[in-house]
Amino acid sequence: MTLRYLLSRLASSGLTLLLLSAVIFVLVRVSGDPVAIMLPSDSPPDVVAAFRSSFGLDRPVLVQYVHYLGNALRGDLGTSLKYSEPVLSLVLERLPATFSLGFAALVISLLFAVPLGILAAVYRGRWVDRIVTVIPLVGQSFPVFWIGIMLALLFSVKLRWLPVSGYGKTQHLILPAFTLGIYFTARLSRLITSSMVESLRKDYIRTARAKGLPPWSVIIKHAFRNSMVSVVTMTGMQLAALLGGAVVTETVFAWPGIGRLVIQAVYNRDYPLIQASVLIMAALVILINLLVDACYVLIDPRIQEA
Amino acid sequence: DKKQNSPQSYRLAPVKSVEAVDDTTLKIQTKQPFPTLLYELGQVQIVQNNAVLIGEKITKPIGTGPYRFSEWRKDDRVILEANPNYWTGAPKFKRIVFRIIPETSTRVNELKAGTVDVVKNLLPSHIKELQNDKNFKIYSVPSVRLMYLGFRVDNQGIPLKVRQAIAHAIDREALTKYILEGQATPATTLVSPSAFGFHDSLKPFPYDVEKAKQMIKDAGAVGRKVRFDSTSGKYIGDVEVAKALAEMMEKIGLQIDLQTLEYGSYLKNVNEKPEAYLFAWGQPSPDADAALYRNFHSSNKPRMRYSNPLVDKLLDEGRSTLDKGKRLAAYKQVQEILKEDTVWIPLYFLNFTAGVRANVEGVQVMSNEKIWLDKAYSKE
Repeated sequence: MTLRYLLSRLASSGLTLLLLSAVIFVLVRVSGDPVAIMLPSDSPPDVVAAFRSSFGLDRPVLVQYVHYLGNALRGDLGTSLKYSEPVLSLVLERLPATFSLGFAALVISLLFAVPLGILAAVYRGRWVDRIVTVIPLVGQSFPVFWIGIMLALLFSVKLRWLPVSGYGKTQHLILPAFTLGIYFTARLSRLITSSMVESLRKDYIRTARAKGLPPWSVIIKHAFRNSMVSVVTMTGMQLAALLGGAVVTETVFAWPGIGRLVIQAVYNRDYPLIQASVLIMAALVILINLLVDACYVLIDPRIQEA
Repeated sequence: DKKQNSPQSYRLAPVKSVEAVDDTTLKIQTKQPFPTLLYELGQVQIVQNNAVLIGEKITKPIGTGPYRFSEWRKDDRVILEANPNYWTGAPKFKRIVFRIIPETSTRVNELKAGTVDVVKNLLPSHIKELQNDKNFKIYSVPSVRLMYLGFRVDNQGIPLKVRQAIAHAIDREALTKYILEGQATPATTLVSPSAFGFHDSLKPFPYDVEKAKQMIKDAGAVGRKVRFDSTSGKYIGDVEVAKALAEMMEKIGLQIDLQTLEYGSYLKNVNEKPEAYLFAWGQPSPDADAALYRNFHSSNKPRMRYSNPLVDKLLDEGRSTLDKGKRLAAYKQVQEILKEDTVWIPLYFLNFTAGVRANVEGVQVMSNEKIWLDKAYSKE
């Protein structure tokens, strides 16, 4: 990946974030009034007006945006209407919880999806394939919410092996990570199976077998390696989704991640917090896409930048 | 201090001056008789003076209660330690931990797993489940939170005869018994029965579907379209109750466009273009003034677009005299007028519920949706 390519990607990312900031800025203001939500419904009209003015919400939208942009370029993304704290610190506070859950779920999904997907492809049409295919079907059919509650009922309430919810110790991470991991295992394993089936049909695989290479070498070093481009793409997309916040899982397990923060910000119409969260998540997605592109080049040297 | 621009300052608008006479005596002078002064003082929080003056955010609250603030982990928990100097003696529990668990099923699972001792706001299905388990106790008290059907009542709103017809079409018993499974108490008026000023002999319009149908016909409102807004998941059973109310209104000849919305969108609708809406009012203090003045006095520009000079006069009388007899008479008359004007149709008071582990005693579950733990202790 050349420096020129990197710089051009950074420039286009900056433009993307600028456009996104404008779109989000306008959209949140159309969605409802934060002051109506923050104050008691019996508040006198003059109190409501004074409160709105104290947040600068009585100024024209364009004036608000210019003021916001000027501050944002200096690293100040604003103050939360609800928490009265800098939104940047509120979001950054949540990132460790979000990253730990996201990466744990991703590792779990890869640990299960890769062997399941390979097995289903290698033993296509046989009983192994049928058994292995049911697992992703179950994972995708049941809602994440239900999977989380059921896991908690079994492992926390009945067996008392793990805590029901909360954050802080490694034990707290296990159930939410498995809940999300099961869901993503389903999607990833099906993708691996279909990519592997296609790879295993190729002529170079026939050649590898004819040369007398051991089966594990044919499957892993040749077929799986050539399937990895789509796997890396899907893994990148899943990581982006996970870092964007797994709202349902975070709610079920009282996990203080960015998903819960954003959804509360939306419910409260906390404009600065919504704007900052969306921008930071967009920046993370851009970074992940960059890393995925870098991985492509490593996996398949034939892939060149356009 | 008006310079602080507090949104709560209107509560103490009649206060003229405040003076600390000595370490334990405060002299408050009001511009006129202020019968609800003590209740309004209970709605504002005492904070450190120096923190307010330098504009610092209060992150370590002070107080003189049975527990003291110890720690706050944002979005996770608040920890309180027992106050050994509490005036009635130190509480039995050394520490109370308030955990923030947004999902009701998760709260109940924590209770069953033995990792929490008290949970609040249970769904009717959870109450049924825990009631049959000897390891838990259920507390369910009628709260001061009134669920009501509100209307826009000016010339762009729903006509009076149509509103009164709707009042006759509502079966409160069905709502509280079947949809809320007994976890609500039918309301007769807009003031909580536990509050001063409650009109104990006032009854709502009787449930009479045939009369309601006739009233709709007489008003020429058969087939009239009504947009009906409801919250979605903000109050227990709100969506189910809204659907039932929509059916009741359609049964008498109206065409209902039911919209169940997330709270922010719901507020946008009912504040900007109300028509008919299901909402809640949690009476902040046990006085009819708290239920009536802010919602129905025309100076507050009620969202219903309601204005009645006689109601304004009676409400002003109620809050400018200390004579309980005169206040009660004024509030009773206001409730009678509001019933006839059918601005709000009172439906029911929600029960405030809590599940407690059987070994914990002394927990007090209050109708103002608070749980007092100062006398709580463990039997073990």
